Amino acid sequence: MEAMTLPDLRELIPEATISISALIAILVGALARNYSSARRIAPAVALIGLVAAVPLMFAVPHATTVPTARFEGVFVADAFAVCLKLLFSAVGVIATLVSVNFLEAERQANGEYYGLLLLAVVGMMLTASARDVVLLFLGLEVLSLSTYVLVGYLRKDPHSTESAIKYFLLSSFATALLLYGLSLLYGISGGTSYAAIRAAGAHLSGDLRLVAMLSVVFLTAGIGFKATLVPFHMYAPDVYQGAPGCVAAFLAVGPKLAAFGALIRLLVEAMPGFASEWVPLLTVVSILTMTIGNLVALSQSNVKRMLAYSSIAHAGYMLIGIVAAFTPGVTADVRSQALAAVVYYLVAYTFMKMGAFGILLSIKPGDRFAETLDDLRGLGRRRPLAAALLLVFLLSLIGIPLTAGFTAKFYVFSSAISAGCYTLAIAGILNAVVAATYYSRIAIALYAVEPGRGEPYAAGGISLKVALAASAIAILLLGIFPGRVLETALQSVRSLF
Amino acid sequence: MLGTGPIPELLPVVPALPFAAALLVALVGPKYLQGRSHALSVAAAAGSFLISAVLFVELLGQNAESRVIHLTLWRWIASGGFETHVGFLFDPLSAVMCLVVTGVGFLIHVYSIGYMKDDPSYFRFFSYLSLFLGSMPVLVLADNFLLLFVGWEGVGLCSYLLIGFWYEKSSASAAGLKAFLVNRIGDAGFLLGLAGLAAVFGTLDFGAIHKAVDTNASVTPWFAGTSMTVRDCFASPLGLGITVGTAITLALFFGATGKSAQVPLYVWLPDAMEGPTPVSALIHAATMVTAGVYLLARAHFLFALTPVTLAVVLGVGTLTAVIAASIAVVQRDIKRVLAYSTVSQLGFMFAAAGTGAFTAAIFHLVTHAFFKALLFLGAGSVMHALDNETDLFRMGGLSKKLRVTSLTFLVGAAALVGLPPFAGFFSKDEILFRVISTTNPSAPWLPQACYAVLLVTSALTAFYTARMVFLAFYGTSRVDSHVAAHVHESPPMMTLPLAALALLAFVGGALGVSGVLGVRLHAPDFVGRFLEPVLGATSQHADSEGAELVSMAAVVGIALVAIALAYFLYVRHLDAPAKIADAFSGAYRALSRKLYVDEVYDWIVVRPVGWLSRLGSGVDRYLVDGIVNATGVVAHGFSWLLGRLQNGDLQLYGLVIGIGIAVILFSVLVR
Amino acid sequence: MTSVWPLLLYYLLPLVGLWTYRRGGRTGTLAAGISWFLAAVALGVVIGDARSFAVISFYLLSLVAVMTAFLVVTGTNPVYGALSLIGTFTGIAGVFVVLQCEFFGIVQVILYAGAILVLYLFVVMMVDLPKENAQKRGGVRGIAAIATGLGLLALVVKALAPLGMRLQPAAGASAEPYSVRAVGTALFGPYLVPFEVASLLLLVALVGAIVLSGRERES
Repeated sequence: MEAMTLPDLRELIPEATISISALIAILVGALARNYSSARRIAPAVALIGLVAAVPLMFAVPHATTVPTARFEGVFVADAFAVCLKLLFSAVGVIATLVSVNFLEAERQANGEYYGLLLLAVVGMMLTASARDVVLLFLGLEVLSLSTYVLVGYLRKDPHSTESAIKYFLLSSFATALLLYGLSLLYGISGGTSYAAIRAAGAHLSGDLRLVAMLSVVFLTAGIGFKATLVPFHMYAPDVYQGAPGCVAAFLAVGPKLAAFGALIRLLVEAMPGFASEWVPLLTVVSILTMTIGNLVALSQSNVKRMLAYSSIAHAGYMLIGIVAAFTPGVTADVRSQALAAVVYYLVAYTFMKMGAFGILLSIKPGDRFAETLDDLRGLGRRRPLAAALLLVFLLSLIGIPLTAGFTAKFYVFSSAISAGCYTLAIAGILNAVVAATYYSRIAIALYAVEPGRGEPYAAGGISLKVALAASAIAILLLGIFPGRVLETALQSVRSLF
Repeated sequence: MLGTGPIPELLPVVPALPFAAALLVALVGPKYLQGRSHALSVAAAAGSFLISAVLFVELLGQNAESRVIHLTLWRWIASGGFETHVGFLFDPLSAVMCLVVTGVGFLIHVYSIGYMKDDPSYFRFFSYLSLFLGSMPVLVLADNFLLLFVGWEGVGLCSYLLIGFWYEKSSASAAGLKAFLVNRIGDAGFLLGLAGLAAVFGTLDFGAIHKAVDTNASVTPWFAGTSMTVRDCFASPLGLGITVGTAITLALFFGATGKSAQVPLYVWLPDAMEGPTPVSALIHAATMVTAGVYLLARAHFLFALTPVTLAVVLGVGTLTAVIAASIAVVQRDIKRVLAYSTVSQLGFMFAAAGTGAFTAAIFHLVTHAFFKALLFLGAGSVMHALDNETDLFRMGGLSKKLRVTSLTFLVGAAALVGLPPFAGFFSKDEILFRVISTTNPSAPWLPQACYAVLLVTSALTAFYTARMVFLAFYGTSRVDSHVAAHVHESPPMMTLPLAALALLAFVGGALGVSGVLGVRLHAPDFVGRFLEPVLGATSQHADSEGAELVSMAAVVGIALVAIALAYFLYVRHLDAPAKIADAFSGAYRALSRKLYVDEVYDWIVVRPVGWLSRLGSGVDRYLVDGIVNATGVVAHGFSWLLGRLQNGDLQLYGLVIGIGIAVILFSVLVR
Repeated sequence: MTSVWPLLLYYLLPLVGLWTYRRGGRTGTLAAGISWFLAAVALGVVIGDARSFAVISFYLLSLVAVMTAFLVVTGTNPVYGALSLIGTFTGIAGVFVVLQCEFFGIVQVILYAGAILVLYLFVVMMVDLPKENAQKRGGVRGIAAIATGLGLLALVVKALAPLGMRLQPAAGASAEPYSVRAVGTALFGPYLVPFEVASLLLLVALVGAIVLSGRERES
């Protein structure tokens, strides 16, 4: 028997760190004698783990300079992965901060909560690094499984449980579709690594090409479910609405980010030869996603639900950049710019969407957290700061200049135009107009004169305030000085090629 | 050249002062400043105006060709070949705009001290007003299209906030929303234009694009892949008989129609009168709504390449002018008359721009800012005296009690009608003559037709202005008796700005006497010469002196006839208008319902979108109802839950996924 | 293209199952399924694409898996359902063996058919689930679902049919059979990271199960 050497696992240190802090958080929850001693330690552990992972991402020499295929190509920590992981860490930190207040208000045990949240972040990170369909699948499953439980965390709330079951069943369906697509991919290439798939894709016979198309469609369904692309989006409004508020904030962002990260790497590294199959498909999906998301959002009166449809629409905008990047015949420059635009969009989207969901957790008219437009009515007078922060998030979601949302849309649309996808660019811009309508409905409710209810509004805890203020500042900084982030995104995307 | 001295660094201060004031007033206003909130805002406005004036003097001190102060602050957006900076540009065009904005802005700030005196949200008003006065200089001082767009959205935001300032009135909130949405539609066009420009030129800098157009440099547009000259690129067909250049400039113009209230997007401006009157004067008459004209002047080198777009601009401007003027004739509300008048006058400016006479457009913009701000403030003063009465038919005979107001209003009205020697006469005459003497290769008949329509519009303008003046200030008083008892002239804080603006409206025309009058009177055309380095020379069309004089006489003559008619109808025989309205009831009703444009938009745009949305959410609506109904039965939570699962929503979602895949597979595999 | 027909017949199995189940119940279903399957195989043999014993075993075993899976979904008695599931797993285990992955075949039997299903049965017995009420089926949605399923089926068959019914190694796969050793080397070599991540997945499942079912701890 030949001597077996263990692969170098150093690049996994950030993921390992977060996983370990997840375990500690769970143990804290299990061992703490009473509720009150655990409630502060667990989130602190989570924050430490997420923050400590950041310098570790840079401490390990990664593949930006010398491209290496560690673990025979299963896992890679190149600049693209590190860039996404930084963002994922930020998602984790914000999700933790917005959860503290909510869990205390709901009087929930929280050790397991933060543990699962961290593991979900680990799942996201693994998908960003995966260079093998097996790892991609496992990463997505770690993410999904954790989020099922998080969605159903409020066991006494039937909405929460219902959402969890719905999410679980539909997501399993989507997982099955994804798996079928992946198995077909394995069938035509004989390997699970992206390199093998790429090699096989370079010279496919006519018969196998058909199978490849089949696989592309099923992959679109599986990944599109996580990214809430139409027609795989229908679960999202129900699930976001029923999920605990802080989980909705995470759910609207986390899986989507992971899905787009995975999609980009899959397209660049595994399936560049299939671009002509993907592009027309994704073009139609993108237009449908934007349009249906925005149109249906128009008639919603529940803000959580409205934000859910808005997040569907935003997935459509992001897809524009991906289509632009893989339109046959574009130059390498345009391609990397379009992908960088998508990454930038992901960053902007994270802050504005989590901020918007987070605000709802700082307002409690009556015995539950704010959900409907009526709950927000007159907020401008009662809670001027919260209203102002929400206004910032809304302006960014609309895409008003000097906010991150504008710059992101600008990059994506202009990359679509430089790639020659005018239809998409025009559809995107028209959709942005429609979208302004329902966001402004919220804004107008904020500054309406009659407060909806008489009860005083609960103020959020300090951690929630920090998270919201930081998100708002990030949005403004990204809007005013977008250069740095775009540059980083560009470099990270270039590491893929 | 002093450009390297401390002067360029003053540029950002112009917007920064009001921004700082807005922030401070918003933060400490409610607790500490209260009724003194105006101090900061007014001081900031004065500071901005002074700095603009200093910079303007600095500019005058330089050679005509090198009159540019440019400051780049930081690199804003850069991706690949595309780069945009945050930078300010102070050239003659932005200097004129900046002076008007800060100058008129300052006067209106002062006026507001008196007008808004007892409003409970005094500090909020001044905070918004300062925010506006900071955003507008960003718009006019920007050195590239993208920063201009920032200012564009900024003033838009302030406009919605101020229209809905009295948000407890639902009509005010609705008007704010309408303005916002209509403007977003225009903005979509603007953004498309920007995207097109960025894709062709790789930059959005005014200077760089201007240079590329002038030198006919070679560019690499998105659709070609190879490099070609700017003119070739602009002339490349894009389909439907539209060239690339036409598409880009039309998109920009569409953006301008939103902000500047032109057909088809003018509907928001009359409703915007729900805002406080100083706001109507500043934002919806003098400054913000002229941003579209400024945009066209700024991009004149692009429009010059595309005669088709110019023809469209001319046509749209003329159409807007006549439609708005005819609607203004039947309005009862003094502010609405003025609003439609603003729309109509903006139409004149666009008509000028459509003939390539950008200098004339800007000149009219300046004089219009003076006299229309004056008219609005005068109307505000009347409302102040009459307990916020705006109905012209409940005024009358006010000239005796409101001496300053009526006198200044008269000056403004004369300027609006275009009677010599008031400011409007010079600028409007210039526009009319430009229209008749222009030739447009893509539509040779258009200028003549437009000239005829604009002449009619002039008559309508004279008529509705005279009608407004006679109804408000002359004839018998129809004021409610309990209001009439305490009709009083406004405080000096309000009358002083009126006087200042009246002076400007009276003498402002002297700044730009051109054409035959310029030659005959030996008057220097200050505005024209000053703008020449930016907008190009104004030809001294001396060879057609006779025609110009005839045109001028015709305009004035028609105006005088219209005034006489108004005098006859509204002072002598006040019952006659009603009879006429009865005789032409269809036309009258159509005009007083604003030609049903709102209704038509409601049917062709608002409702279909609503239908689509409801269609899309049919499934959702059912679900929402289910959830709402179910919240009451939490006790039965679990059974209800199981019931719902079996009722099949889940299966429906799964089915939709399945259908989606089947459709996609079908389109991929079967072709 | 001739191989479309046997493949189509094969994939239509569940539908035949549904039809016969409505008419004649469980036994009828099995009988109809088997005969239908034999027809399919026979057709395949006649057409001449499938000759070897392995091919016949493959289709036979997958028939078992598909038919029992169908019974799991349509049955109303949870114990019968669990027992049918054993059939499914066994069938899949057999397929693994046919494909020369004996190790996975054995693991499949031991883990799924053995451990997991026994656990299922324990749970089913302990909580004493009531016999599920027969659900109303059909309606517009049912027709739509059937149509969609058939459409999808046709499309998948269309894409896969050109490959024929033969069993052949995937394009670049090693011809070497999977041995326990090969599996071990793969798990601790190239697939070390996925292997570790799988343990993370199990941890999430464990914690999740405890969270969702455990006693509520409050202050």
